[in-house]
Amino acid sequence: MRKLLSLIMMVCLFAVANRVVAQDSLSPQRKQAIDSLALEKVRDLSKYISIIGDKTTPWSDAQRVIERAAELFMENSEIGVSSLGKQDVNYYKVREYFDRLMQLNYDKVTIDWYKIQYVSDLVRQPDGTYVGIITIYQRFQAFDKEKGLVYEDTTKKDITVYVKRKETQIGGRLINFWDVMLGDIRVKETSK
Amino acid sequence: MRIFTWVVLFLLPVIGFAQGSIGSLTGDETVFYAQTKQMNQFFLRFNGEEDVKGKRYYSGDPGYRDVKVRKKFLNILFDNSSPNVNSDSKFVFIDEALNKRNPSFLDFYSKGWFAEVTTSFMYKKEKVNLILYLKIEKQLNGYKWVISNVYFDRFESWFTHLNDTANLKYFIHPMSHELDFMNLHKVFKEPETLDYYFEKEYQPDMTALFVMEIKNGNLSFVSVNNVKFHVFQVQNWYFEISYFNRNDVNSGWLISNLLRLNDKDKKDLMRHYTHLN
Amino acid sequence: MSEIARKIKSIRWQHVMFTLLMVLMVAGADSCKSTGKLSKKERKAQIENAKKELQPIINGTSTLSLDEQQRVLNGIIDKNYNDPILNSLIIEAQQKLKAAFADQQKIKAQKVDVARAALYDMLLNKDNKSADELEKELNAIKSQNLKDSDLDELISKVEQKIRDMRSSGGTANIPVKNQLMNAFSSIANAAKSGNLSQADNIIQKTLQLFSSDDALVLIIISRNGNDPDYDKPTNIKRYLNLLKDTKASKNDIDAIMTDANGKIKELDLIKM
Repeated sequence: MRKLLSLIMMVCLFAVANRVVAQDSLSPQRKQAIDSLALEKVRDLSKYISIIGDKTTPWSDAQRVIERAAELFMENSEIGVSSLGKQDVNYYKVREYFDRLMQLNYDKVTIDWYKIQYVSDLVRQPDGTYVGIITIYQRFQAFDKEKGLVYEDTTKKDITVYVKRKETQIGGRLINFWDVMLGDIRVKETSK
Repeated sequence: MRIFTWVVLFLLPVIGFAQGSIGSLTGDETVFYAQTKQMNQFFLRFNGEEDVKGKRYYSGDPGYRDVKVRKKFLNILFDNSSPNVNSDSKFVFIDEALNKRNPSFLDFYSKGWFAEVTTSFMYKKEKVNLILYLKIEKQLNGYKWVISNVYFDRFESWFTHLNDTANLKYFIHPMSHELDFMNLHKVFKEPETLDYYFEKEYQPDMTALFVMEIKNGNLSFVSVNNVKFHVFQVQNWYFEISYFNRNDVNSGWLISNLLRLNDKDKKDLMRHYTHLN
Repeated sequence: MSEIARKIKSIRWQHVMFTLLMVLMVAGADSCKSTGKLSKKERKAQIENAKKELQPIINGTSTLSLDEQQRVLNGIIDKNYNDPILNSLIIEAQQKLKAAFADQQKIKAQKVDVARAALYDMLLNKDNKSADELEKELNAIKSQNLKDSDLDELISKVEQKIRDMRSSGGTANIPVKNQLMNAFSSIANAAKSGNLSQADNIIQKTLQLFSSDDALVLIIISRNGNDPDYDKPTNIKRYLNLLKDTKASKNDIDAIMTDANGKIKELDLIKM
C-alpha cells in the first residue's frame, strides 16, 4: 500500500515537473526586459562601428573599441553581406569586418539609424539558449574631404541575439543574469 | 498615429509610391514600417498578434487575434506584383482563413511548413545551384532547423529512366537466375543506362548522394542565394512566401504563390518538394 | 558677580593702603641684604636645590612644559649664585632648552604644512566630499591648535565654503548618488560633443570614488518581485568606458555599497 502511494506521488511529481518544463517559455514582461537589453547591445554595436569607422578616432581607442565590439559576439560569428547587384553573399568573420571598416579610406563615415526596429520572438534551442533576431535599418555614408559624399547605402541588418540565463555567486549572493550575445548578422542592401 | 499608419499601409500600394531614393532622410520610415521584415512578423501579422507598429499583442490584450486586425494584415501579406496570385483566390483565401467558426492560424512550431533554400556550391570545379529543404524539428525542449531534402539537377539526371514503361530494351530477362545472373555485367557496362534496371517504386535518396559528394570532397558550399517558404498549415490552401526587396510598402516577406488544394493534392505537392510524407 | 562686588565694597580701604605700605618697606629692606646676608649654609642648600632642578631639564626628563622649564632656568640665573658647577649646568640647560624649542618649532612647522595642504584640498574639494565630511576634517585640524595666522585665514575660508555648500546645497555637498549620476551624464555628454579627453578626465576622477577599477557593477534589467533579472556583471572601469563609447547614460542608481574606507565597492544600477 505504501509502495503504491509513493508511486502515485512520484507520478504526480513527475507530472508537475514536466509541466514546469513545458511552460518554460518567457513571460511577456521578462521577454520585454530581455528585448530591450538585446536592443541595447545592438545599439552599442552600432556606436562602436561608428567609432571604428571614424578616421579621427585615435588608433589606440579604435583598438580598444574593436575589442569591446568583438566581445559582444559569440565566437565564430560572421557577417554575411550582399549588395543589390550581386546574388552571392560574402561572409566575413566579425573581427575581419571591423578591421576592414577601420581601414576604409574615407575621411569621414556616418552611420544613421532609422528609428524602426523589429524584435522577433525568442525561440528556445535544444541546448536551452534562446535565440531571436533583431532587424534594424541603417544608412551608411562615406565622405571624402574634397569630393564630399562618395558612397551611400541603406541596409537591412538582421542580427542574431542569443540569450542565456546564467547564475553567478558574488559575495555569497546568487545573481541570476541574462547573458546576451550577438551572433551572425545578415546585411542586405535595400533597393534604391 | 495608428490610423495614419494604417492609411499609409493600405493606400500607398493603390495610389502608387514614388520610387525615389530610399532614406535620404532618416525620418522617412514608412516603407520599413509597412514591410514584413521577418518571417516571425509574417506569422504574427497573419495571426493578428501584433499591432501596425510591430508591438506584440499577448493573449488577453485587446486586439489580440482580432478579426478586423487580421483582415487588414492578410490583405497586405500578398505580393501585389505576382501573377501567381489572382484577386479571387486571394479573397476566398482570406475569407476562409478568417472563418468565424474555424479560423486558421499559423504556428511556427508545428508541421506543415518548410524552407526552400537556393544555394551555390562548387561541384568538381564548377559553380552550381543546389536546393536544400529544411524544416523545424523539436529536440528536448528546444527547436532547430534540419535538412529534410536536397535537389540537385545533376543527381536527378542520373535517374531519368526510373520506371520508364516505354523501355523495351534495357532489362534483366526473367530467366537470368538460371544462369547465376551471368548477364549482370552487361548492366554495368553502360553507366548511363543503369537506372533502367531498378524496381518501379525505387525512390533515390538525394540527401545520401549529397552527403557522399560532400564527404568525398566533390561538393563545397559557396553561398545562400535565395530563401522561400512553403506553407501547408491553412486548410484547403497551399502558399509560398518569398522576400521582396524593393522600395515599396508592399515589400518584405509576402505570399508569392497561392493554390487551393485538397488534402491529397497537398500531400502530393509536399512530396514533390520534400520527397517525404 | 554681584557677590564679588559686595566684597569689594565692604573692604576698608585705609587698612589696605597701610598694609601695602608696610609690605613694601619690609620687602625693600629684605632685598638689600639678600645675597650678602644669606648664611653660607643657606646658600649652599639653595645651590644644591638649583642643581637638582636643572638636572631633569638637562636630561630631558622634565615633566614641565618647555616654557615652564625656561621659567625655572631663568629663576636660577636671576639668583646669580656664581657657583662654577651650577654655572656650567646652567649653560648646559640653556643649550638643551634652545634645542628643544627649535625642535618644537620644526614639528609645528611640519604640522602647519600638512594642515595647509589638507586645507587647500578641502578648498578645492577635488574628491567631491560633502559639507559634513569637510567639517569633520576641518575640526580635526582646528583641534591641533597650531596658532598660525596663515592657517587661521585658510580655516576661515574653508568654514565659509562649508557654509556656502550648506546654504546653496552646492555641488560638492550632493550625495554620492547624485555625484555619480552627474559624472555618468557628463561622460556621455563630453563624448557626444567629441571631447574625449574631457570624458577620460571625468572617468579618472570618478574611478577615485571606487575601491578599485574592478569594483563590481550590476545592472538590473527587470524586477520580478524579489528575483531581479540582471545584465551580465561588469566592473566600473568598463562601465564608464561604455558610457563614453556609447555616448549615453541610460541607467539609474539602485544601490551603492561602500567599503571600510568609504569607497564604493559595488554599484547596482537599474534600467531607466
